Amino acid sequence: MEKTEIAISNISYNIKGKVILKNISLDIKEGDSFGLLGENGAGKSTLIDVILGDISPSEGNIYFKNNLKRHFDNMGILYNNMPLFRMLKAGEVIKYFSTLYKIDYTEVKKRYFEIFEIERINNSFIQALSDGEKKRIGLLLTIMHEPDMLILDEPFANIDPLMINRIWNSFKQRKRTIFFTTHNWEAAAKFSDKICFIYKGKIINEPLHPLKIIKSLPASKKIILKADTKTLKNISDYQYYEYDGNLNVFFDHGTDLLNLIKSFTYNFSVQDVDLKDAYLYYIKRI
Amino acid sequence: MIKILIQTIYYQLIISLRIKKSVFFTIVFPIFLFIIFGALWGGQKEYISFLLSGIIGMILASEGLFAIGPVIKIYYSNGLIKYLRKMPFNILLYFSGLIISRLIIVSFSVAMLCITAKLIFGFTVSSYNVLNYILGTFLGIYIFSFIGLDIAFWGIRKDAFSDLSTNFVLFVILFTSNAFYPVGDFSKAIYFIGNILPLNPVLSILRDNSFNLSLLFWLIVPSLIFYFLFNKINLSRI
Repeated sequence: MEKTEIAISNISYNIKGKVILKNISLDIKEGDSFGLLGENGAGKSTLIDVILGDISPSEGNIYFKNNLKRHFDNMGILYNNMPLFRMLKAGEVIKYFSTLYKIDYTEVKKRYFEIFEIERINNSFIQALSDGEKKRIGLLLTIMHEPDMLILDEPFANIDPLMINRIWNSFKQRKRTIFFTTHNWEAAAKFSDKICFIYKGKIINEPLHPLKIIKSLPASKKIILKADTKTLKNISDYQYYEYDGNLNVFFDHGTDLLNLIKSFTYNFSVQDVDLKDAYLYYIKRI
Repeated sequence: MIKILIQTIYYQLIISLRIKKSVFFTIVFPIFLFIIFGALWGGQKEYISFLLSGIIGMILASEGLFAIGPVIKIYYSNGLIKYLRKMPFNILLYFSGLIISRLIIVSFSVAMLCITAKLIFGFTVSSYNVLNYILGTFLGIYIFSFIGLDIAFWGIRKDAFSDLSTNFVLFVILFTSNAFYPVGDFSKAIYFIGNILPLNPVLSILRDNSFNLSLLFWLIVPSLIFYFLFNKINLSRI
């Protein structure tokens, strides 16, 4: 049985009467790639801050290997807004952090510069880099000391999809426990062993493999059509959710839904369901 | 540990030297001011000695108020401090590196002023002066850094408040002090205010190593205030 690396136990966090996190409990097992998905403001970054001890929860505890004390030596941390020294060059920042981690800069260069495409920006000032380039530097600083556990806040934001693959592969070159937050649905589906959704500070589903989450939906496809009162009345017996002015109706071949819709409109499209559908469908059911 | 300290000092120096405004106000502007004021008053030896220590006091006040307190506040509010706290080294080493780098810049600036005094006004700084400058620099940077930290952390969510307040504090301290001329000759009231504020006691150390009792107050109170402010801020999320 896999050991629990991080146990998040009944965490709540309130500030000035506002509930930011509500009774969150999660177990992150050794070797898991655990993705926490949610929209902006759902509480993802706050939960990361609580896990890392940057803020104290109003209730609950975080256990690292059954221990309340945190040991950061073997942990790589990526904050969403990585605080880098804007007046230093990228290469200087990497050299400085190599010193802080007591590791050999040339080794870091040999192992990671190509994967993270650092050579091209090595002599650029941090303040002149794009958000994606800064994120790459942040990700390199997270992994350069070869930690066994990674805690990453929005690791895929502003990064090119091809590079995300390369970077993730380098993360998984060894068995690492990774807990990350994101609102990049595709990347989360691709890289996570387990996913759970957070909405308004609450966990809204049991953590499962992305495929299991998608399978838990009422159907494997969805029909998207404009939301109006007449359409809503026609499809009210079917499972659906409303989003962005559209109705997303769950649909499997062999049902009469398609014929029903064709009887009043041809203005629709059919798509496979994905994680985002799961999230929006779960929200509707709260 | 030593390697981390040296690298921190090195990169902090690089950062400072890359900020043109910082180089101007710490190195170029004081020399410019020294030459102008010195020439205006005829370059008399007594006044050059008085002005030199006064300008050093001005550097200590502005460097302490602007280059340490607000910088630490920025590092705190942009998350650098919480990030560095998770690194395998003591965060105090980082702060030490930051402060030492500022002391090096101030020392360089003081050395440039002493060279200017010799080259332009023929004034030679004695070893007694040098000892006073060293002691005054340490005390001045300590006092003004904590005052800068107090202002910065007092208005930690309001950058404009901090910047305005720091500028206001610097100008009040500077223009009520004996930095450029003995204000007591013009106004007893300003002289009284100046003696309560921290620059005059620091100038006394820089000039003749005399210890003013109010120095003790400024050595203790701002650091205590910062201790309480820092602990208060630690409890909530910025």
